[in-house]
Amino acid sequence: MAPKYQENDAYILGVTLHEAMPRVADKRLEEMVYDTAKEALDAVGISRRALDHVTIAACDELDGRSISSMLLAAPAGAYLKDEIKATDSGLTGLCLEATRIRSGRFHLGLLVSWNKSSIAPFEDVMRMRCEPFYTRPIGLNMSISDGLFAAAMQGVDEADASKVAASYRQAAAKNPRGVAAVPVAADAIAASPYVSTPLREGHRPPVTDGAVAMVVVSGAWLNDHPDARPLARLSGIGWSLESYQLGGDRLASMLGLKTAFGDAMKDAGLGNADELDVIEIEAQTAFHDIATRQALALPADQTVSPSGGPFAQNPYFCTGLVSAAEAVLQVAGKAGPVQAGRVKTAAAIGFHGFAHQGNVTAIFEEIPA
Amino acid sequence: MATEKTQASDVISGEWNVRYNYSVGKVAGTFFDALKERKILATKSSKSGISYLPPRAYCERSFEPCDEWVEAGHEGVIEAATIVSAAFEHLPPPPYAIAYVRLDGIDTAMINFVRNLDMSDVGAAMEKLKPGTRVRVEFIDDPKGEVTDFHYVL
Repeated sequence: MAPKYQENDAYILGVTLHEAMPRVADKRLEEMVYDTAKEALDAVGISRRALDHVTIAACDELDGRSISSMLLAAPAGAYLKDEIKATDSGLTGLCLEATRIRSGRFHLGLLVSWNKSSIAPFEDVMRMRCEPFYTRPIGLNMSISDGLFAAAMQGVDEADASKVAASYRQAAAKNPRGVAAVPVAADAIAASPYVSTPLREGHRPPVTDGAVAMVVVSGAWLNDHPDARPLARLSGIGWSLESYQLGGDRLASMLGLKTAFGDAMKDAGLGNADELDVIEIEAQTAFHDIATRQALALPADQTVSPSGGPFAQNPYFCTGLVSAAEAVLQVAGKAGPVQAGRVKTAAAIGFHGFAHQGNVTAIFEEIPA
Repeated sequence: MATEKTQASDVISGEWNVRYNYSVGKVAGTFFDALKERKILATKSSKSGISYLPPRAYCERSFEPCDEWVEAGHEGVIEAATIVSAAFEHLPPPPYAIAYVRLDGIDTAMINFVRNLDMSDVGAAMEKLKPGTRVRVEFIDDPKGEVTDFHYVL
């Protein structure tokens, strides 16, 4: 009988999300990471000993410790394992994990990403991203760069952004994996204070604490373990980096998004966005959501972020990987109250860096019965 | 493993102050020196034809060195602007306006403050900062060779 799975394809065997909270007060970061990694392995009956690699994704500045993996690799399951770290974003960790599996050398891995955003003044850490010559003396942070982005998006008004944010808050309130978001009406969002015009406080999700782990296996491993039931196949992945230097074109063109998305679609053998049943977007502002829909020419009836996106939970560094987890749950039919019917393909779109400099798209495919 | 609530404080606070001495390099050094003479210098790649402000040593598209200096005009157009209304640690007290402006003769936009703008009505002030609006450069009285030696005014 022919093997059921393509040997070098990557499959998601299990997904675990740490309980989302504005602040996880009763655990140090090490314990959050351990609990998430341990639960991910236990849920699919895999022992740490069996892993042939661990991929982690985290940010030293946000962890508050240089080369933070030296402390945090072990609770992620990496003691004496082949461990490597991505530092751009949680979703970039999935890119790294995919390349490891697809190399044919690795077959059973654990991908772990985290962010205890509450430990430091978040925007002050973001300000450190400025280079010291030209931008740091002026002062950019995440909110201000997002405000510039929103201002550069001509033809999108604040009212549109307020409606989008309201709809996501409503969706997020139904997501049991979220922080129990409270629905807020669009007019209340439109009246919330400006942060950096035209970006208002209500247009963006609050930052939360969280962690996510995925058990990722090769098709070869699945063929050797016929009782294992993967949740999804990672059918396509693409990533792209735009210029650090901002300006009108850089802010509004969404060129990096288009490139990453196009590469992922090609990788998955898909042509048009309407072939995706669900798209989870890591939109750090409502303007990002609108810009993504416009840039990818998504149909008006496209199902976007049924999870509520970052409005459900927003552990900033790993929010993109949380979006990927939500996409996996959708194709597995396990998204619970936010399940969008039968989902054969779902994409996760993530951004990182000032004003979406870094872009990743991952596409997941249903496992046929 | 169940743990009981401890008597200890639930956080341990820590600060880590590190002084970095970033090398300025020849390109930024030339730019900062020129600011003292109220000149804004950009670099240009003859290979791609793209001029960069802030100046770069290389062209990120052609991946060739920038091999020319070009003096930017003291007027330009806003590509993106915002008024910061929220208070952030280690940033100026709000409100203040910043803008990416493409100065005449240059292909890229440079960020700086927009001064002398009435921000008592933020909405009205933003209307004045729409992309495409022309602004001019104004230098401070005693330029010191820093990026804040100049700013933009309507």
